[in-house]
Amino acid sequence: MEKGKRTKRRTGLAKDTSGQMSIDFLAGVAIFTLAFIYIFTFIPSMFTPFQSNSDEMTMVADRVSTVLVNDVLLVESPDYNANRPNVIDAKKLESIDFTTQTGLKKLGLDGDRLYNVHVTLVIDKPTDPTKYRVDFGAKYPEGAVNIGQSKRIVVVSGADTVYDTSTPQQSISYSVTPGESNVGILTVTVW
Amino acid sequence: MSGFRRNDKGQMHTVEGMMAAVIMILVLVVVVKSTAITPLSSSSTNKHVQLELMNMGNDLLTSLDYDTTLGGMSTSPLKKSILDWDGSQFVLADGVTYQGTYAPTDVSLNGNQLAKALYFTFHQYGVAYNVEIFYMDDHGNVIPASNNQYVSDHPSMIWNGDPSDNAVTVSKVLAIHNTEISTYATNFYANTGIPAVAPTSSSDLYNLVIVKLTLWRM
Repeated sequence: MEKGKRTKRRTGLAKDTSGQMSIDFLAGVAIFTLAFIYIFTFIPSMFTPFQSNSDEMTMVADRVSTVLVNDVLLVESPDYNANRPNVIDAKKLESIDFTTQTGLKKLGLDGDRLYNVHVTLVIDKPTDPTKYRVDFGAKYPEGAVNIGQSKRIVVVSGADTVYDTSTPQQSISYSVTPGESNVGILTVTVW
Repeated sequence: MSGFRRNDKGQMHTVEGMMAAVIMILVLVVVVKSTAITPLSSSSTNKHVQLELMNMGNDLLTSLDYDTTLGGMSTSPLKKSILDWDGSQFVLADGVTYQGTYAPTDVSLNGNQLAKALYFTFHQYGVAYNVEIFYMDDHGNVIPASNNQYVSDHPSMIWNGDPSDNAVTVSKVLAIHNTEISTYATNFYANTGIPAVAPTSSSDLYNLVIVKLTLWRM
């Protein structure tokens, strides 16, 4: 036994040399770790908040808009611009059937699923400035649905009045002005 | 002595400090590396967004190149826009009307069909655009066309600034003919500097012109 040397007084956590953790220390570290991991996985989604599952709908909308602009809506001969892509006869939009399977087949849609298609045409210079847009097809859905959309630029040929299928019914009239083109935007939405 | 100074070894506080710093850096690294931006994630570099912009640009150039019968000769609105161009640069001032860069009172581009179509199509969606006209000279160099009186860093027809990283470029080649020059644009060479490619030959071809349209979302 050594005289004059006192053993060091230990305090707090180091008082006990058996090596066991106390329950409250364990609880504290567990809660801290859980909170830590939760923040880890939550923060990345803050930077990319919009997750979209509509890849299929986007492809379908692209295909429908291509079929419309390159095939279905083309001007008939013997016009100068007959069968020229992107030059359309807007009156043909009235006669497309968006509700039945046979009508949708003409738009390049087929298969078991009955897609909902909505087509909108906006023209730059209508003769009546208050009427510039017509809508065809199914009404826009309520609630959260996967939607695909495709926009194409067209030139509307000739002079006519187009009546749409929305309520109340809208119409646009366009005419030929020498030296001016009637540029339009055709928007196809599919869900 | 206060609490911190009771023990003069100091190692525990250092280790705690190091651990805290390491944990903070680890969290930052994991968070930054796990936000992956892929071509399909919802951002302005999304593949479909870029594709749609490219389609719209191509559509615009294709659709404006349709046949007309002005004066019995078929000159499309796109070609007429270039023939009517006086060679100077324009900018979309205030987002409303076009204004000449060198002569701010010059708003002559407002009657131009290409400019009007671009304004209608892209302005409302917050898409900015530049239009440049190129031609090839005798040595095979592709040169931007512009009026020689005004020296600019980017000779162009419409210049709305440097494009951003997610810009899309579409282009179209047009053939200009001697008959069109003599009917619509007798000062074409003086205005734009585009020369006749074969002045002495008997063909009607004046020159080939490339219209380059750059689009980007702001």
